[in-house]
Amino acid sequence: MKRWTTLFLMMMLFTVLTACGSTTTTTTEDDFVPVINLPTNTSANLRILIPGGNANETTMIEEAIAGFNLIYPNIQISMSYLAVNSYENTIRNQALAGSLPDIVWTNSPDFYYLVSKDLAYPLNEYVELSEAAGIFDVEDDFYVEFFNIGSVNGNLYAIPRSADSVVTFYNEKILTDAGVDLNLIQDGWTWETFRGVCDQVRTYFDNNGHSDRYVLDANLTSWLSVNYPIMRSFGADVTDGTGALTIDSPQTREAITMVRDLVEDRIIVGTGVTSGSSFEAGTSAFLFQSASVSLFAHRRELEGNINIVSFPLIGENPKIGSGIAGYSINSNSAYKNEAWAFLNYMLSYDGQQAMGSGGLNLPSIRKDLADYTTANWGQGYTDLHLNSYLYGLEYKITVDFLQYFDAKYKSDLDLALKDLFNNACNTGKTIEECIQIVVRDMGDALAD
Amino acid sequence: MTKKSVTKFLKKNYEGWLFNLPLAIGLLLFTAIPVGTSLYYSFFETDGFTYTFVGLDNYIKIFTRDRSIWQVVKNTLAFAMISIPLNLSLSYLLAQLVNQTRKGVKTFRLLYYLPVIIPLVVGGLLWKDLYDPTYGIFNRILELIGLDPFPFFFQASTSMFSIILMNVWGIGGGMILWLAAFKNIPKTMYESANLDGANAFQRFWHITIPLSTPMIFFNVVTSIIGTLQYNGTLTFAPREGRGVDDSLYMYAVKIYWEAFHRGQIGYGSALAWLLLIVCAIITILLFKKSKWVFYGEDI
Repeated sequence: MKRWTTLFLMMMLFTVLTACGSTTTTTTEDDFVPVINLPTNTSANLRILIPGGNANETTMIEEAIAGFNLIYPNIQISMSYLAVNSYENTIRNQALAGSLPDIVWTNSPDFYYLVSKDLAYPLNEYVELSEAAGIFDVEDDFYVEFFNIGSVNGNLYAIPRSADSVVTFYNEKILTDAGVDLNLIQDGWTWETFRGVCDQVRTYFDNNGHSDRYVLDANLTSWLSVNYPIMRSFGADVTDGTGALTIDSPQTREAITMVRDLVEDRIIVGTGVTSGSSFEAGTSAFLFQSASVSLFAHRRELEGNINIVSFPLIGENPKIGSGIAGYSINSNSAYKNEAWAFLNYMLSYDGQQAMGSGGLNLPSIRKDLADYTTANWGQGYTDLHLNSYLYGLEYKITVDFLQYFDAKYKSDLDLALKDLFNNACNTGKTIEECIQIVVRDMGDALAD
Repeated sequence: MTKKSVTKFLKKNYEGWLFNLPLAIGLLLFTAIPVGTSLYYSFFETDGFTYTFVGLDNYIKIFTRDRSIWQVVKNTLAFAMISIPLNLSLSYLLAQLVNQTRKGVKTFRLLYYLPVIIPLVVGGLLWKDLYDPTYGIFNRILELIGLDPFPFFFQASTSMFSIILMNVWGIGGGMILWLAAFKNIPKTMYESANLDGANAFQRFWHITIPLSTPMIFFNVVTSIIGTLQYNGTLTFAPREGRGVDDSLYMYAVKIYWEAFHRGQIGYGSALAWLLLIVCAIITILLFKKSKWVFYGEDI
């Protein structure tokens, strides 16, 4: 028996020692030289990681690859997929296994993870070389406000594939039935105007047997791109830029009090309240979203009734949520130059047009494709007000507070901030309780 | 065991070893090595990319610096203490109910067992829909009969009740095991008891229960281990499986959260090893106190 026990323990020890050898570190080649303008006969097999569950992303990348292959016929690009809600997991596992594709889809705020783990190659040199070669000029050719969203501390780590921003979708039929003056709904409208319209729709619902409906699908409790800019519009923030928490402030209280008012006035649904009302179902008048109009325009309940307008401006220092949805180059890729060639094509006039014809119905990152009545990205939706995505460039912000914290705190801080708004929507909790909870949870998150 | 005798042993049994080889390789690759790796990780602060040796600090942190651990332990114990006896007794009663020879009883056995063959993830998503405050069928029914909607997982105070209720739907698994135990009880015992004038309750109390104690013991052990390792909330509960106000934040969910949301693989491994130790201690204690289990050879 002792011998078997010894044998078992030795096997365990062997296993542990075997595991000791699995330490992996990422490396960036110091002697790597970025090159642009590769010869057109360059051959390589690239892999690109894109989000699954989004048919548009697949078709637009397919179109981009097809266009790219007209220039570089010997660079083959194959697609693989990841689930957005397990982004970090997938990236970590693939990076540790050495199987992370050469080009990696990323978004705000997930791209901070790529950066913190040195998995995204800094693209500044490529940009500088491209500008020097006259391929593009960032200031002149692109919306800098969107282009620079992929930067941290002056280093560019991700190229946006489109200009993504939160807008207000609205249901024209509901608003017309409610007697709303549609002239009020214009880019740059204020929160006060918006609230006035909401109140009008609320009255209409209540007077017409729809008291179970809610006016706005706010995405407040599940999406930092909506709730964080609202906080910032009031001057509140999670940190002062040094990593110290500043969430416990009068400004935060103001922001969540405004949210509480929305619940109490039955503009949005409260936490834990049953409601069959939603914008998608055609029973709510407004929706805060950054998605492409194509996701909603063809729904049976909405067809012919939707349009978009800018996010309502709050206070004297308004903010509008935006973010990056784009691509980075894996810092461990053996084909960085080839990967850049593809990203460069993606940024080009032809590349953006190709993606537009592949289903990218969001504004192009290029200024020369701003006119959606002629650019491919607006085709099929030219009667809608797609300019709203680009309204108020000076107000656009991202969930940038995460850059001040270690990546391991991201999930907890993200959850704590969503909880703050969740609790603000729970009339069973006081505003002070909401603050105490977020301070406790963020403190706990950073405790170790 | 000398080298010669090992060689002789392997030569004599090589066919058996060959048959076992695929399983042995599988166990080594997908169980033994990950288990060993997790033990190694538990002594490091690591996100998989960098490793800093911290000795026992991850284990010390569990008891001293982790502010959510007691909430997690409280939830896990509450779930275990209610769910285990409830499910064991309900599955036992259900097995008694279908342990008959009436026509059609096999259909009921099949129906009660069906939920068990549905994968955990699919079951979780199904219950997420059933409990949904907006379009879930339960609230639709409540609405139809004029009652207020029930928040299920969307309020902290009702979350635990909802998950315990949901867990009941898997009692078909226990039912099958009870049935197997009942079928192993010799019919002659019941016939003798009948001759002695024992009524149904006396037969149940003095024959069925004592002779099914091995299965009771087995079910208790596996239920305790299974419940302590429960992480089903990841697929359906709000806040990434933690529930409103952490009301469903259980131990195995915490392991997942630490290792895969926070990327604290070392700390998550330490939590997992602590759970293994706790499960081992509970199992040893149960075996030590298992004199009440009545095995056939004791007759």
